[in-house]
Amino acid sequence: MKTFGTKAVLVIGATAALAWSVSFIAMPLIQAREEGIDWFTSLCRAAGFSAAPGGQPARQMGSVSLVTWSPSVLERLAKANITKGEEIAADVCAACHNPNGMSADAATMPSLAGQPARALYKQLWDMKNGTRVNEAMKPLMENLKDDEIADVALYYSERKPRNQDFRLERENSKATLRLVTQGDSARALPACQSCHDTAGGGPIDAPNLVGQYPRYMSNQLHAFADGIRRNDMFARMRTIAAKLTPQETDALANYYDGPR
Amino acid sequence: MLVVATVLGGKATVLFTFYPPLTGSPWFYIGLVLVVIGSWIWCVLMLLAMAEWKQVHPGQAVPLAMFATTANAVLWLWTTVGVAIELLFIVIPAAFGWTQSIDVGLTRTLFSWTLHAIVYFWLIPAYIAFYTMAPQLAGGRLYSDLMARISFVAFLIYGLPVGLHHLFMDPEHSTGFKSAQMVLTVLVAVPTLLTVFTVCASMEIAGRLRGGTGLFGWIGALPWKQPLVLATGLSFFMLWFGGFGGLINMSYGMNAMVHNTSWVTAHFHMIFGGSVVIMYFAIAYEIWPKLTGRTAPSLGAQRLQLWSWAIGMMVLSLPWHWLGLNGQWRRVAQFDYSDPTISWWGPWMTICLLGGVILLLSAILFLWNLGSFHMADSARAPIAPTRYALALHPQTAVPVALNGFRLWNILVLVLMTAAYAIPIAQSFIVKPPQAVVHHVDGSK
Repeated sequence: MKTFGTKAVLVIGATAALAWSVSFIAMPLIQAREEGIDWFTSLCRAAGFSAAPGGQPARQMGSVSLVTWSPSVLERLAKANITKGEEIAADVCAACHNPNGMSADAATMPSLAGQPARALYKQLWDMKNGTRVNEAMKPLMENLKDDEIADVALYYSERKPRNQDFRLERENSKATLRLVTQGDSARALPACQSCHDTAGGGPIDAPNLVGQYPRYMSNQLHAFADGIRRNDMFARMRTIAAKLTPQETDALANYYDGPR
Repeated sequence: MLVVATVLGGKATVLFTFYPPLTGSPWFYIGLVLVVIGSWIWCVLMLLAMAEWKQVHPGQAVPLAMFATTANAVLWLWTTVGVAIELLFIVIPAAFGWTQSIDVGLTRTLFSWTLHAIVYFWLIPAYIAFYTMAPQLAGGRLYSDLMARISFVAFLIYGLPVGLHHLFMDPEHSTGFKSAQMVLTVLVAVPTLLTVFTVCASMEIAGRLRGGTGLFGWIGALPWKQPLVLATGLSFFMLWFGGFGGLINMSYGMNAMVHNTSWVTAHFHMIFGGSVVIMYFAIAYEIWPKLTGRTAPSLGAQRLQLWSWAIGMMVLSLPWHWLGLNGQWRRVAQFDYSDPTISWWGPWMTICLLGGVILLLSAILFLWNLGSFHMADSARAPIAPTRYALALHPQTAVPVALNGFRLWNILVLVLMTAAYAIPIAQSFIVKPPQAVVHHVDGSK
């Protein structure tokens, strides 16, 4: 007959052993499989040690946007000169995007008209620095100074956008409306309008989707989903786009095109 | 005096858990260290008292109230070591300006050592009242003395190696240690469930002895006019909400949703300010006549105070939980309600404020009630000896392990080493980045 103390030690020891084996063996092995890392690295990571000297592999350069919304960048946009922007647009941009921001090819080029200046600045800067890969835009942007990019961003942000006056309640499938206004919590999809709306609380560089060309938007969502376009901060859009079905992607692109 | 003077002088505005690299006046911390050292004297006295009792009564079971109080003293000795190391070796040197940088991860880890067990140090007196006073005053017997001892020992063992659950969102620890301590935290729910069961069973005995019948009839038969019985009922009621919130906080995954929100603030108001403090009030009402030899002029005023405290706490903390779930952040003094995103919080906060006002009035009534013992019309009565609840089956002999703390101290040492040795040692092995000391008292 074991004493009470012995039994207590056995029970407490067994529960502690369970706690430690779940935390330091079972969970890391599951995580290794889910995250595609080898089991030894995962075990070391769970215990707080780095298997490979030097820690995590260096982040791939050029894959993530380098734009930071520092006071100096915001200042630059606040002081942008719209007249200079108009001149640069006529010189550099208008051949494809027209002076009014309505682009020549609605499949590969966006409508620039009425996009927030911060959204335009971020995309132009990313293309200049190669974090958004675009062979046609890169050399053009490389010739512009950061101040000039701010000027041209301000100019196009002041052009009259397409189809701004459409209402959310217009005829559309309920499922699409739900994605726009509520998202889908089962898939951890936030509502589109929680960021892409003037009243949204999203990142300050979120573009205006209303009036964007549907083919362009659909192409960009597919590019995010496939990881071809990677300049979204914290992989937000890559995560979201990858969860949308192709039908949903097209439906959303058509939705934001506005009434026909 | 040192602590109060520095706080009121605005020289120690470092929030409740210090938040290094913020540092206040060194005298603030020295004052706190002196408080801790003073409390150790009480701990030693409790240990000596129990040793003396055992010497006089060889082979007999230590009375439950003494066993539980000593368990609390042992817990306090263990738990204060973490914060003492943090203050003496890291924070006070920085506050004096002897060091210029602080390893924030290490200080937070050491504080977490203290942080959770300190809560159980506050909780255990309420539990002692549940076990030893409530059944007696309800006219019943304690259902199981052994169960009570196991509960207190479980608090001692599982109250300590679980502090990392306060650091689930901290970057300095690996998932393994967080997860292991989470599992141990789950086990700390066991003594609470044991207590709920044992105390409910004891109350059922009392209710049936008083003529209550049927499945729930015994509840109505309990002497709810007796303040401590009423407080036990109200405390248990709040414990459901507080315990439920606690289970969410301690789950590594769910914690991420609520960690930096006012859900946490609301939780500890509910569980400590509610479940625990209401028992302190009732214990005071029970012990005051024993200390002063005066009887209370009005039990009704005491009941009103307990009811208003429970209602005020619910009104305060339920909307607060809700706001936390909706992302209201904590550790801030005010919100900008003109921001349309959060303007809807305003009405809910007004309800919280209403709860706070009820609590304030209740606290004033508590002081009034204590004062009323000494008013002219309160009767003097002979001091009745304090009686603690007897067990249904009197525990003449308990297992040796449950009549002392030797084994449990060894187990605490083993579990604390397993839980904290590497998390603390890594600060010295990997040399983490240091934070520049930020003096809030205007020095340097």
